[in-house]
Amino acid sequence: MKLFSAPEVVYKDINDSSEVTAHDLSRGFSGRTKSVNRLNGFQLKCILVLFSLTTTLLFAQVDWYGYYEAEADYFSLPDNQFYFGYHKFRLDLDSAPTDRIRASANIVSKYYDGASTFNFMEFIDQSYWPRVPNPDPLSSILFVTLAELPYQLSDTLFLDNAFLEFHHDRFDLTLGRQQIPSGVGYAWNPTDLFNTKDMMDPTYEDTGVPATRIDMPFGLMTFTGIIQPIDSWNNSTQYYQMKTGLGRFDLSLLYGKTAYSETGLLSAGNWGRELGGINLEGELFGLGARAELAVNRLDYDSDSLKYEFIIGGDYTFENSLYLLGEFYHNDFGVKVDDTQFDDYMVFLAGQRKSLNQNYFFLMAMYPLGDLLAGSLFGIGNLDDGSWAINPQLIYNIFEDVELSLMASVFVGDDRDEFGYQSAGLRLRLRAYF
Amino acid sequence: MKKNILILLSLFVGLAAQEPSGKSVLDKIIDLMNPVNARGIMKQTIETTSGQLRTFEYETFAGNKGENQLMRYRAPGRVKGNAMLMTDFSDNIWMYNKRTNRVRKLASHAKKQKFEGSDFTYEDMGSGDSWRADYKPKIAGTEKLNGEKCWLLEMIPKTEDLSYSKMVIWSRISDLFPVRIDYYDENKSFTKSLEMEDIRDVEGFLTPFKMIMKNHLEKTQTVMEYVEVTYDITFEKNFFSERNLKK
Repeated sequence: MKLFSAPEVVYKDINDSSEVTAHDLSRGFSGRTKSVNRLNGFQLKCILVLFSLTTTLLFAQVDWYGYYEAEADYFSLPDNQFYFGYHKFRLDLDSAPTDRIRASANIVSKYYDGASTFNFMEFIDQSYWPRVPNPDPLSSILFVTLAELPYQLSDTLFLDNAFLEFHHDRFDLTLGRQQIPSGVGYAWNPTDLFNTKDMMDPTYEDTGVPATRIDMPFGLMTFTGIIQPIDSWNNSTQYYQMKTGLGRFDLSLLYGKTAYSETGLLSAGNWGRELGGINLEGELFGLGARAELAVNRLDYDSDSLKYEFIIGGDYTFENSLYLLGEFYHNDFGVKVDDTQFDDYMVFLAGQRKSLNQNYFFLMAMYPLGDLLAGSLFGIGNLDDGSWAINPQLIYNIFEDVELSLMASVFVGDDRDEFGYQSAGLRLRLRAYF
Repeated sequence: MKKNILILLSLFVGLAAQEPSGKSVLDKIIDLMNPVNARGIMKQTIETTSGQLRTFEYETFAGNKGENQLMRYRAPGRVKGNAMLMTDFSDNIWMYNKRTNRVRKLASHAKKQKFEGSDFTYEDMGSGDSWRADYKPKIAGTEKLNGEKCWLLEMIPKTEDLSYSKMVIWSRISDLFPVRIDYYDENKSFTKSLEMEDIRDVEGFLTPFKMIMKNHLEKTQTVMEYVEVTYDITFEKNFFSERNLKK
C-alpha cells in the first residue's frame, strides 16, 4: 500500500497499517516512500506460509540468517520537531534440496517507537495547501483550506519474499514474491517498472513483487521475461529484456507494459503505459559509466512520448577516494512553476520517481580507517535549485554489527522541494546473524 | 695463465647457462600459481590497525588458468550470499549483492580498491596471466628465504596505469615456486608483501595453504587460508557468467 491513495481513503488512512519507515518521515518531502505492501489477515498468511515452508523443507537443510535493525531519527521543521524510530527484524530462510531447486522466503517485522502520528501538511509549505470541499455539510462555506492530513506509522509483520527457483540447463524460472531490481543507475532507475528507489537510501533492499520470471541464455545474450499478474492480462505488468556484453559495456534492450496511475487528492487517473528502454553499464576512458533511457507512452496521449534517463559515472582514486555522480531527467515530473499539492501526493505515493524534472546526485566516499568509512552525498533539484546534503559515517563495530550516523542539511527556499525542512539526523544499527 | 683464463671463462659461461631468463621464471610461476581449474573454500582473516580480527569465508572457483574467477561468500552474515565474478584476468568485475538482488559491473579503476577491506586488491586476486603482458620480468639475483635459495625476479610495469611500480618475487630455485612477493606503490615505496606458507602437494599441484599479505604502510595484514581445495574439477561452458553469480 502506498502512503496515499484515493482522496476518500486518505482521511481514514490514520488507522491503516502502512509500512512507512521512520526514515521516510525524516525525509519529509525530500525523498520517497518505499514500495509498501500490507496484507490483510497477514499473520494468518505468515503462519500458513511458515507451516508449508517448514513441512516442505523438513527433508532439506534449511539455511537461516537475517538481521536486526534499529533506527532513531530526529527531524526538524520550521515550527516543529520529531523524534521517532523503529526496530526491524528480518529472518531469511533458504533451502536447496537439489542443485536445481531453491526455496527462499523472508519475514519482516517492524515496530515503531516515538512519534507515530503525524500531520502530513506540516511537511509542506502552506502556499501548497489545497482548497477542498468543506466536510461540514451545514456550513455555508463551500471550500476550506486543507490543514490536516494525518497518517500513522503502524507496526507491521509481513512476508517480504517467498519464491521457488528452478534451474534448468536452458533457463532459470523464479515463481513467487521476489525482489526484481532493474536498471543500472545508483540513485534512480528509469527503466524499473517494479520499484521506486529511495534516493536518500538508494542501496536499501526493495520489497518483494509477486511475479513469474524466466531467464534464458542464448549464446552471448540473456533473455529475461517477467510477468506480474494483476486482475487482467492487460493490467498485468510485462517486462522483457535482452542483455549482452558489448566490449567494456553490458547492454540491455527492454520493453515493458504496465498500468500507470496517478492518484492525487484532487485528481486521479489510470492509464496504460508502454516503455522501451536501454541500460548501459561499463567503462569509458577509465571512468565507470552508466546510462539508462526509458521512452514511455501513455495510452491517453499516445502521440506524446515521455522520456526518462540517467547518465552517470564513478571513479576510485589511488588514495581510495570514491566519487559518483548521476544526472536524472524525468518528463513525468512537473515544471517548478506548475507544482501543486497533488504533485507532492503522487510523488510521495511512489507513483512518480521525482517531483520535478531534473536532478543531480553526487557522492564522495572515503575510508577513514579499517572499520570506519565517511561519505558525503548530495541530491540537487536542478529545477528549483534546492539541495539535500548528507554527511554520513559508517562504523563496523563488530564482525556482524554496523552502525551508521547520517545528518541531513537542506538548502533552498520554503517552496522548494528540499528547502522547507531544517535538518535531520539518523542513527542506524544493524546486527546480522 | 691462458689455461686458467679459459677455465674461468668456461665457469662463467656455465653459471650463466644455469641462470634462467626472467621470462621463463615468470612463465613457470604463472603456471604453478594457476592450475587449469580449481575449486576451494577459503578463510580470510583481516587484522586491523587496532588489532581486531575480521573473518570471511567464501567458496572460490577458478577456470582456464585463473582467467575466470567466481567467489561466493559463506560467512559472516553481513556478506553471506554476496558474490563476485571476474573474467579476463579481472579486467571485468561484477558484484552481486544478495540482499538487494542486484548485480553491478565495476569499472577497471575498482581493481585498485581493497577486496572487502582486506590488504588484497581485486587486482591482487585476479591478475594471473596478465602479468605476462603487463610486466617486464628480470632476474635480479639470488637470496635465501627461510633457508631456501630463491631467484629474485624483478617485475617492472610496461605501462604507468598499473597499481604497482615494481614487484619482486622470491621463487625457489629448486622448483621455481613463488614464496614471497614484495609490492611497491606508485611512489616506489615498499608497501606490501605476500608470503606463501604451508605449501602442500594437492593432486599434483603445489598449493600454499596459507597466504599472508602484510601492508607495511598501514600496519595491517590479511591471512588467506585454504579450508579445502581440489583441482580435479571441470566447469560447464557458461559457469563463469552473471547467471551463475546469482545462484
